[in-house]
Amino acid sequence: VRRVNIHIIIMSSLVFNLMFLDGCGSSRNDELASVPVKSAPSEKPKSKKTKSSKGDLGRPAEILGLKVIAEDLGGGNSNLPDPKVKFPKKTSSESITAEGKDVHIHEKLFLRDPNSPSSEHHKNLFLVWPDQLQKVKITAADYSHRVLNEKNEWVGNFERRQAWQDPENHRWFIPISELYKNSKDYGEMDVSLADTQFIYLDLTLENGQSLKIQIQFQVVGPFPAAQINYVDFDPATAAPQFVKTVSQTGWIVRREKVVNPTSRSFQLWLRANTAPHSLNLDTYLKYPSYVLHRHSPPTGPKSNYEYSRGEMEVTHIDVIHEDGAKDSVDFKNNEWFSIVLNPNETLKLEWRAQPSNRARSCSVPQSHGIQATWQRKPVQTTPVQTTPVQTTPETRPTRVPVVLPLPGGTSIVVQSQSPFRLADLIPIVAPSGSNSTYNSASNSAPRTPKVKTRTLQIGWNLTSGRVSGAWSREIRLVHPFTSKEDATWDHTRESVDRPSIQYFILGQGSLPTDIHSSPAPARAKAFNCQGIFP
Amino acid sequence: MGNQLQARTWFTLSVALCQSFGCGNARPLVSSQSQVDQPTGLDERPLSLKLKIRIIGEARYSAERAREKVPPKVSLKHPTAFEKGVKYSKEVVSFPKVLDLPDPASADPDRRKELFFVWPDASLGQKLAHATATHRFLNGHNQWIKGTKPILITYDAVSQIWFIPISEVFRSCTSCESFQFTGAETQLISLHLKLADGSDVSIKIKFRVKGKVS
Repeated sequence: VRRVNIHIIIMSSLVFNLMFLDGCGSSRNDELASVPVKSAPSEKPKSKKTKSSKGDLGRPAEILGLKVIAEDLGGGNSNLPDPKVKFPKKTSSESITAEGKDVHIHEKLFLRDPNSPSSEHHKNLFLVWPDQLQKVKITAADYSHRVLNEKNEWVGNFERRQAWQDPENHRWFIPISELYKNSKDYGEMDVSLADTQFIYLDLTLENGQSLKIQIQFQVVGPFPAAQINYVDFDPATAAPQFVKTVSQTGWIVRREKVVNPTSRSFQLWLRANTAPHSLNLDTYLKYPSYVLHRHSPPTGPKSNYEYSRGEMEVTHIDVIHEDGAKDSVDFKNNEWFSIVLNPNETLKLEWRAQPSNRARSCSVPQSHGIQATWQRKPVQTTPVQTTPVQTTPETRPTRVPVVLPLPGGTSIVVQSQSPFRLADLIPIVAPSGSNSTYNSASNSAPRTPKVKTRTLQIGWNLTSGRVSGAWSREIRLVHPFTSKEDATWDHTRESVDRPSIQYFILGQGSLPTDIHSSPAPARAKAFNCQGIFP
Repeated sequence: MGNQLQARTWFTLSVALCQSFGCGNARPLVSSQSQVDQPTGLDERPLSLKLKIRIIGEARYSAERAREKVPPKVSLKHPTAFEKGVKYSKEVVSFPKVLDLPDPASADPDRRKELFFVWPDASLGQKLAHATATHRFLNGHNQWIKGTKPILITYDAVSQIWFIPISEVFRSCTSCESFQFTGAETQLISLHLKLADGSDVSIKIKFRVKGKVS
């Protein structure tokens, strides 16, 4: 029996050493197993086992007392975790659970982001644990780090590093930001919450025991610096084409680029707001006018201008990807919509103003011709005139201002000018009872051989188009996991349920717009139809 | 006396060595903590492991199939790709792989697959009388979002399995509608089982998904 007992003691010692030095029941994967274990201290105290080493140290994660602590910004050393935070007796809490050798941090962590609108994310975070386990001092703490990305691939290096010690406050810690320093493949801007972070912690105790703990958590990197660039919009084309295009499909009023310099995706929440009557298409129409004379040819033409105003709204965006693929989004005024900003992607945004639903459709009056008729004053060569011309009260050559044309054959409302009748204005000797019409000259020809006519072409043209006014747009950059409610919350509104700000504003404010085909005429009257000209 | 002691000693040592080096009858889905079957009659495996909850994928689960309670075809012999790295602890089974939510519009047949949480009826030693479940998720901003409707759990008497189509989980959550999951969120199903003897068992299923709820 004595021999057996000696045998048991030897074998037990052997087993315990194998277990603790070589990682018994390790939950690491195969890649981890290939990493050389940190060499044990040269003078390892032998058999200095405490009572606790047999029991709870077999489940070290549960007694580690790990805590996530933010840096102390209150005048202390910001490179150290806040010393005022006390450790829990056990690791498990609502945000951290531990079982066996595994610690799982459930709380989603944020790397320090000085640009974040949320002050909660302005601090460095540390994984911190006391420098004693069950009253056995920790003499060394090494760790390695690896990441399982959302594609279930392992990324990042597996370099073995030493944890930091804070002897004054009796604790060890790992700055979370340090995990991503000096890494080409996986820097802090690449850290996505969809990835799973693994830290393999290797603790060496004062009694020589080596404990391995796996810490699992999710963390997200900071917002990238604002990367939005203005790109000029297209200039207007010739007036008729410009007005037609604007009236039919709208016009790009702003073009900008958004650059994502990180290897993680984000979401853009956007909206455009056009206040009523704040953005308009002004269309200028030109037409000729003539002055008719009773006894001389009409003079002119003189150019006249009228304008029509149609209301515009920015309600369309084309999102153009680097490969040329285009997503077109129609949205309502002031309504939020979202697009995905993929890793390392540059998106081109083309905001388009379109005619508002309230804009009336107008049309350009059709061109037409009218005949002007006049009669030269007869030269009195003899005192006897057999057929004197019928005189009117006004015998002098009267300049009769007539504004032409009479828009005919179109759907537009006749303008306020009273219809022009040549017969009223040109006193032609005509047979009694005959009606003077546009053709009255021919009727009177037999009796007035000196009557002349000329056809005047009255044509309407679009001479200028102008999209002008102001509109506003807002672009918010958010983490892809942010809900619509949080991403689009109006923080100017007072509310009990007001969430903390979870977005980064890339662009905001009023955008004056003035795109015109050619200079608008100085004077123009209102056209009888106010709207657009599709 | 001496032989008995020697035998017990060797047994203890063999268990310790097995624990050290991972020998023993490793089960495909068993975590490191449970890779060694207990030689004694006392089964100390985690409850979540005993229940044998699996995730399997199958062709798109239609509403018709749901009404007819057609179960997925379950092969308990081999782990599926969805179960890679699964961990069982006391009352929680964690699936670390980020699962793709079924996308009926996808050209990839694998992406159209419905996923099922499946467990055998008698895996806890006796039949289940009743099963209910609720769902909530922890979003990226550390807010818990709760499902508002109970999750539909179906029992198939022929194959004697209970199953939950993953679409049903998110159908219970009105705030999940049109939500784009990114894998950042932690999904949690709380499963409440009533055994035939009247006792209650609670198990949590933790997993992550990405995609849009369709």
